[in-house]
Amino acid sequence: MSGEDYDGLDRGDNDGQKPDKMFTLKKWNAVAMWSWDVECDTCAICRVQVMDACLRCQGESKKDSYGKQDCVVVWGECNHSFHFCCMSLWVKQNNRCPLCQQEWSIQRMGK
Amino acid sequence: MSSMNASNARPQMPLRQKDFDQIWGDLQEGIEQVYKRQHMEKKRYMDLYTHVYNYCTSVHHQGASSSSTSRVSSNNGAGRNSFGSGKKQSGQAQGGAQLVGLELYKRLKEFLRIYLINLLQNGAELMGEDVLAFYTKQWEEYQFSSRVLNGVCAYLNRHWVKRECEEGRKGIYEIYQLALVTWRDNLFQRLNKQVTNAVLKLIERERNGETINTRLVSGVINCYVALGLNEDDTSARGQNLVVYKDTFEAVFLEDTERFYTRESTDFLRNNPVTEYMIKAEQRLQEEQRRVQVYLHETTMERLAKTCDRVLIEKHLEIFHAEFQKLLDGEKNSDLGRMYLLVARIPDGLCELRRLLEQHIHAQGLQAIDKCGECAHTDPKVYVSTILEVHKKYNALVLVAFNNDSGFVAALDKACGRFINSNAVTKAANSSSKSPELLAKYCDLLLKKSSKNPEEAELEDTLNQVMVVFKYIEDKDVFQKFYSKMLAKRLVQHMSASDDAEASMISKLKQACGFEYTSKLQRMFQDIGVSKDLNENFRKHMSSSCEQPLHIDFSIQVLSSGSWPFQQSSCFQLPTELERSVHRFSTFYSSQHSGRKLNWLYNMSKGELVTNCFKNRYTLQASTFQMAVLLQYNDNTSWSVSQLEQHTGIKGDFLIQVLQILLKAKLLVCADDESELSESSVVDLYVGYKNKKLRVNINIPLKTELKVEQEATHKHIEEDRKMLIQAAIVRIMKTRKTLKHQHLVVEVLNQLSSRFKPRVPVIKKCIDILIEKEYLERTEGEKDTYSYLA
Amino acid sequence: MPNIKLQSSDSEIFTVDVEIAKCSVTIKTMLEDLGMEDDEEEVVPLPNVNSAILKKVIQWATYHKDDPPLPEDDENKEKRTDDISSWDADFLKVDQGTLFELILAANYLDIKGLLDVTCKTVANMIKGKTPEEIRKTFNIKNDFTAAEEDQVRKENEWCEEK
Repeated sequence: MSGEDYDGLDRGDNDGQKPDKMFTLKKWNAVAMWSWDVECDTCAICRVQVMDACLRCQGESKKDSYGKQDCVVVWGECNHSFHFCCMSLWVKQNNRCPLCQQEWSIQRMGK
Repeated sequence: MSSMNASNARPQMPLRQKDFDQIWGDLQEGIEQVYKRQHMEKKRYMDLYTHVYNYCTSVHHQGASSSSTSRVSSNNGAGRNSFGSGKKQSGQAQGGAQLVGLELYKRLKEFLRIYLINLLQNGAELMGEDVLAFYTKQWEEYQFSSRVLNGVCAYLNRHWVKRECEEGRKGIYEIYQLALVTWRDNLFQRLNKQVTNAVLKLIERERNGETINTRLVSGVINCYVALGLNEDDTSARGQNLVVYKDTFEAVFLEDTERFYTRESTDFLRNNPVTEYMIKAEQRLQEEQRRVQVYLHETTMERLAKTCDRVLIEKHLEIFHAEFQKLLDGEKNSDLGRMYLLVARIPDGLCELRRLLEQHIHAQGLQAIDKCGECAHTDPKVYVSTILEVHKKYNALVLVAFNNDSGFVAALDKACGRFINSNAVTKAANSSSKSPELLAKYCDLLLKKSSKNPEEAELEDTLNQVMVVFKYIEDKDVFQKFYSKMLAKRLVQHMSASDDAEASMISKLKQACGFEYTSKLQRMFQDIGVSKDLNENFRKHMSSSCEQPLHIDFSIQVLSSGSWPFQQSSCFQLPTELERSVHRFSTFYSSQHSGRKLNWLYNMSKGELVTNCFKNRYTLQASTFQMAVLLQYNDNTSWSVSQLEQHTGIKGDFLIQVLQILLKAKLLVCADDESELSESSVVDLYVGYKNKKLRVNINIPLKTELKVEQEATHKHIEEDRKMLIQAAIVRIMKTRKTLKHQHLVVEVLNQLSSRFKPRVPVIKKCIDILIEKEYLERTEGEKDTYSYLA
Repeated sequence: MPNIKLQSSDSEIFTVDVEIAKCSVTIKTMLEDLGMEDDEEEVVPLPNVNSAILKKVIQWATYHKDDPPLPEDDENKEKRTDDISSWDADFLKVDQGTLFELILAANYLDIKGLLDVTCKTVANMIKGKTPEEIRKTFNIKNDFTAAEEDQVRKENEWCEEK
């Protein structure tokens, strides 16, 4: 019999200053899922989910065994979002948002 | 004329008939000596050679005197000086001297003819071994003597014969060849029937187990081979084997066929097939040795073919019937012998392969049947049963069938068939049962347990799993189940070994490519990232001036899209946890930007310490259980509807949570567990007792499991539709227009490494794509689609 | 190394290494045909070669004993006459009579290398000469009539060097 299994009588509630609640929380292992805070979860440029790496990065990560997490998301002032990689290529040809045609300027970057 | 003529006066004189007769007289005496095989001195040999030389270099009677160079390298310019002329004038009538030789040649030929006619008289009446002894002995001696004669006549060969042959004269041979031709026309022609018969008799006696004088046979064979002169091309001295083939080989093969037809039929009538196979193997070896020892090597192939036909091909049906018996009796060495024999027959193995496939398939089905119920529920039993069958027949193919590619294919086909369709899959009414059970077996192997094998053993077992995986048709189903179970192992820290997990993922990647495992790898990464994140959060908290959390908090942040987890249902977070969530969320957004967090309460769990029982227990509980139990800090009695209101957990689901707590005897209710209603009142049971102080009450809910399973299958169907549509679009994008049948075939091809799409589903997907205006039916063409850009 | 005794027509005996004597295919064939019961004392008479010439032949064969075997004659390949080695050229600086006797001996004994090189030497003596010069060189009487000679010349026009 291990100590834990033993019905010890000496272990009352005499160690607390005030009477404890019936149950006290000791430990919590939480699980959460993160995602980009976007309106549309597909990148309109490469048609891949923004949560996944863009097509180009997927192709590259085939080479090393662990896919890189560098393929982040970028938001424009118009609040539309794309893979940063995809958008950087896009603006070289056309400095407008592919969805709303507003002039493109970066509001924030995913990290 | 100059000095050179003076010094060569002797042979310069025209040779008169009288001189020639004298030369020939001496020469003939010498040749007779040669053919009597009497010892010859070097002096005598040189005399004979010189006779031939002198004869050949003498100027012909009709010829006038000329420059002596004419004897050396040209026959031109004997009568007239036509130095430098490229024309050959030997045929001209006006007395152009020819190289001298014809007369001598004729006499040599006549000499040989008469010699052989005399010789024949000694052998004509002989039969059997006597004729062989006579023939081979005479042949050997004749060959030897003729070689000496050829040497003595070398000058004749080198000049006169060479010239005649160059000018296309038929029937003129070098002297050694002349000797062979003369033998052929005089001795061989008359004796070959009795000689060949005697040889065949001798061979038959050897086949019947007697020891024979093989030199008699090889002597005759060598002679026949040597007599195959290539007369059409006199310059090439090659043999054409025509004498050997016509006079000997053809009859020999007929004889062989007759002999073995009788023997094999008799033997099979009185002995088992397995004995016959040993006999046939021996016979084939004997015949091979026969060719090596005393026949010509070119006979090997035809003799082997004849034997194969008579000894094996004629009895193939008997072999086939026996093959099944041998398989049933697991007579591996007999099977190996049969394989080697039948492999000699073109296309002979097809039937054996077919029978083997049939047999393995039946054995596989039977083995799974035999496990009964066990196989349906116990992944280990199921997979091990499959592996045992595979292992057994893999070994058989390797050892008995020489790993013959056709037999490997039969094994693969049979395994594929029984693994994807058997009693278990039929009971489940789905071929997906096999990948599901295989994935579950992987989970058993990789999950922490008291029975985890050693690393090397585990690696070996995983390799075995891959053997079965190779045969699985629905690889996508395996992927679904595998990723679900991997996710659980990772989130619950239940993985036995990171190395083993990585090894398995890399095996899958190797088998199916990057895409197949990319999400599995992402999951692996997330766990690593979370470890760092917790570390950083702890540091952040300890350096913060805010109040500490009071609870031991840890978290795993997973990237959405890679994990097969469902959103959690409605839930009111207990106030005790709110602070943790809040503090961490703030911390997380300081670390990242543009991200939102979704808390998966159904996956979260924790520990509560009890203060209300006789002992202080630590309860390991799900977040929902925690939320319910924490309600009892405020009141020791709640109705179900009150609890629903306070915890935000929906009715059905709450009842399941309560049922477990009731079963654990932490709560009590007047109503029966299974008949809980909104109005049921549930009280805290203060008399709770457990032998252990740490109690795990977090057991999965029944509906949760069931829902999960159903969801998995449903997801698979949906994912498949997406994969099929993607494949159709890819194909149509490159082909532009395509017939329905061709499109279906290509889709099946592209997806076969993942799963076997059903044709009606493909049709449905085509319709969906037409509706979505990716495709249209081509106007005026039946069953043809065009791609719309 | 075993030796062999060769006897010239004028009865002079030369003791020669067998391997050197085998330059002569005639001697080589004889040894093969008669078997190799090596009676070194047994003399091999060469009734068609005198001692002066035999001596030259042995000298030539000794020098050439390690030569690689000659390639087979190719009917289509024109023979060259300008590839005589300097040793052979020196060796063949002899009077015409000796040269022709060497040719005869090479033919009798079947020594291809020697036959080639001696014939080439004669060919070089003919090369580039007019018929008259050739007649003079080899002391040949012209027995053509003028008309015959004309005819021959016409027939052989094709081979004249241009």
